[in-house]
Amino acid sequence: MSAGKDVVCRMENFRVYYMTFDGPVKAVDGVSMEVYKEETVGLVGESGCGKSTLGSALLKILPRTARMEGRVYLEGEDLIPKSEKEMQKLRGAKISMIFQDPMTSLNPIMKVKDHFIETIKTHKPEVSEDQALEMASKALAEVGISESRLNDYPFQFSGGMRQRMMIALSIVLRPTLVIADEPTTSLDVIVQAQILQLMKEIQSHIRSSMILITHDLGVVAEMAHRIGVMYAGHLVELAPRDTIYYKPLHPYTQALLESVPNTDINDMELSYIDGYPPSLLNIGEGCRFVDRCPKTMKVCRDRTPPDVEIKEDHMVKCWLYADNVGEVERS
Amino acid sequence: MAFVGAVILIVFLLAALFADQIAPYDPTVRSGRTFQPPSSKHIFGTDNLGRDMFSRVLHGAKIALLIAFMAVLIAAAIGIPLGLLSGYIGGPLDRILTLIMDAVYSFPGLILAIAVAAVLGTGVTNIAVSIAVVYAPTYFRVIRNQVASIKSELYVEAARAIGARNWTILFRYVLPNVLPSVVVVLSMNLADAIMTEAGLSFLGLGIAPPTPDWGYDLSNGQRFILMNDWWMIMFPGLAIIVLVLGFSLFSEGLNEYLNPNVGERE
Amino acid sequence: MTLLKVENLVKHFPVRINFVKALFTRERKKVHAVNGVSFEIEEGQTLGLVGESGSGKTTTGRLILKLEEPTAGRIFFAGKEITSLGAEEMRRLRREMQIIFQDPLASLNPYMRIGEAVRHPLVIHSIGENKRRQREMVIEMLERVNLRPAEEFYNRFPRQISGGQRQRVVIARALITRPKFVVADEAVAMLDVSVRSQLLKLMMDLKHEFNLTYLFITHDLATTKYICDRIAVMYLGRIVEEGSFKDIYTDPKHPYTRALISAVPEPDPKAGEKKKKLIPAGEVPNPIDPPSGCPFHPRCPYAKEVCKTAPPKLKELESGRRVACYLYS
Repeated sequence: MSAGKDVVCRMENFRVYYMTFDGPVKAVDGVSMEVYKEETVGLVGESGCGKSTLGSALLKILPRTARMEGRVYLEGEDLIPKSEKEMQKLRGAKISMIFQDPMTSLNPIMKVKDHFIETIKTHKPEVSEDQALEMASKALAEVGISESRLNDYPFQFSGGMRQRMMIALSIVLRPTLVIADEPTTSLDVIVQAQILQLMKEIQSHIRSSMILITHDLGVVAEMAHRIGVMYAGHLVELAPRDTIYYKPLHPYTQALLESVPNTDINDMELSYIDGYPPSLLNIGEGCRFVDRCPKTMKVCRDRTPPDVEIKEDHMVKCWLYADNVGEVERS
Repeated sequence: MAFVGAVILIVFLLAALFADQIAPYDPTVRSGRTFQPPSSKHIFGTDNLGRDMFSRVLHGAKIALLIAFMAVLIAAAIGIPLGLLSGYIGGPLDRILTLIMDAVYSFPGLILAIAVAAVLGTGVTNIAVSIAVVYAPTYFRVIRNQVASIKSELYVEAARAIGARNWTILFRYVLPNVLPSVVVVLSMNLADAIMTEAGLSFLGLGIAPPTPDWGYDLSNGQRFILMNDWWMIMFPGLAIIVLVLGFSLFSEGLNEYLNPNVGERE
Repeated sequence: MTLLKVENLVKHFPVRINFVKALFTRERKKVHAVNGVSFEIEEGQTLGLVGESGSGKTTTGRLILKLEEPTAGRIFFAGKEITSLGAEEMRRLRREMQIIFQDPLASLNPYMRIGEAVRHPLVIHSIGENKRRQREMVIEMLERVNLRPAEEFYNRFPRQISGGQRQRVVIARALITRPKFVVADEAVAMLDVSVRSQLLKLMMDLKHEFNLTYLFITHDLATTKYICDRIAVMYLGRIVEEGSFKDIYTDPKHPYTRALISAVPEPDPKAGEKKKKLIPAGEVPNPIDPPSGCPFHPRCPYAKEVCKTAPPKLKELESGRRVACYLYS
């Protein structure tokens, strides 16, 4: 906890379980973290780690089979007990989302301007249509789309432009927290670079916080101030960007970084992590990386590691760094 | 749901298979006084010729199921291969066949069956064929559309890439993937076929008397409804409704099972 | 020995227009997917074909395997021209030329067990004396791609195994006939990062063991570093630059290649910050209406008048280095 920094979002033992006939799928299992004002936290991990579930859970847009527990404070208010009606007031205005696939997340039969008017008027019914249009034009200008396109339909936009439009929609009401779920994964490399640059500019301009969810370690290197690494529903490490890349502590973070291809000619080593992540159905106690970790101890299989605070802003969920592990339990 | 449907179907199937054993009387001859309401001797009553209604309903099940299955099998035997070829080969063949099938499909079912039955005449096989003509386009359509879309699936292209011949691709890669959609259609079709057969018989174009037939009994019984002889249409009518319901429930349940929606479970 | 050669490959797809329009307009629009592509691959080498969407890289791969018919151009395999090869002959040639697709789930028949799927090429090409011998060969192959215990995987269906395992099955199926040439079309793009490196390593090992020649199609420059000897960069249906991966990375000549390399986000913050960003504006134009002259000129910071006239030809700068750009001619 950094003293003196405002906390925009705080999660305490946040859990999201999908209830199925065969038992709960523990997609997010006890995540505790904070997001400060005006920062971008990158949430990285591979498919099934729970990062997307977490992002959608913050907006409470998961299906009814998802059960959320713990506490999630957005600017001091706990979101978990909030009703759907109360959440509708917050979505778009206080917390918004940029989705991965702009093609399917925009309504194909609504004009661009109608998307904006609907969003604006839902939260600010006192605003007139003309005023809303003005706000829309300004938002589009911020993302580099001319206002002449307000009367177009989304299908008339290219992929990159649609994503820009989605970004504009997500910031038009100046939310405090923006969740970006794989915002550039479906885009070409060069368009991705354009959009990332745009997102950085906009964020500093409107001064919101962002949780950037992605599997791409290159993208978070460019965009994030702090990075959280997720594995099989657990947040295994959370630290400032450079710490994660140059001094990672969790064995999974270390292995992940080593298995990522890069363009450094002098580094021809490509290692990989053997095995596969565990199934989250009815998963019990214990570290979830235990079957693939090169540094396991006996306690790792029996008990879930605690969130260990290494330094003021470096958390690792690993027994290697916990003080209270008895000698007996180290194998 | 499928369970309830299956139970109903099994009951009727057994009734049809063992009609000879279960039926207390010969359904085609007089076995009691005419116009008797349901009693302990004749649990469904007797009709205007003194025939036992219960026996007629049981034997009627045999006829109904026999014709329905035959019709649907013939329809599938016509529709599926044509659909496969049409969908896979495409081009002018596809367009012509689709045109023909759509034309047939656009006829109201019963009218078409009547027209064909009028040409072919009565008799179990002929009735079955008349009804089959109505349903063949359904199978054609379902299969053809599925094949046309599966044709561009990656695993079909992969099959071409490893050097498989067209016939191999058709039978080992395409067919197994389109057949499941037919299974559900089959079940719904059977329900429909029962109704069409009853309709034909009701209009006098179906199975000739004295063979027991639900549709015929309906038409026969309706003549006497003003005399409050309700049992003559009630029981055959109920039989039709329940059997059709059974098929519908079964196919709905089957559909749920084969194409499960990632369901909501609280 | 040159195993594969393509000369001026062209593929234009007709755009479907509705019936009424077809009656009234004479013009028929075309998607200019591949616009004159030429390259050679030596036996045992790997050529990386890199490009974004609309570059024509996937279509090129499929043209080489005759999964699409070229509109123009010639294809040579092991010295023999195969451009107009008959269907039956081509079918037999598929024993030597294989493809690994991008989507492992979609490229496997959901109703075929894994063992049967991998055995099928042996059946088609009559390899192996009998079913038992073929089954042995499949088990051997499954073990070779690290699917163990192979007997168990033999009987499973694709939906019962993970994405990485499925792609191994696809590789097993592609390699069981011991082909000489394999097209890998975004073979690892749909896999998780850590699984990706597993599969890349497998493909590299197999390349050495079976002396394979790969055409490695990808949009991800970084993966080419490990597996490709040479790289050809494509843009809007043409090759704009070609060279060894070292040359391309350390000294990219074509403005598009430079932009591409600078746009790749580095999983290394310090390296990323050092890298100069040369991000062109706009997006890749629609291949139905490509720009005149050099396809990149509308976005190129160095565009001159001549660039609008005719597309520049691929010119050899040094040995093995080719660039299609008026800056160098």
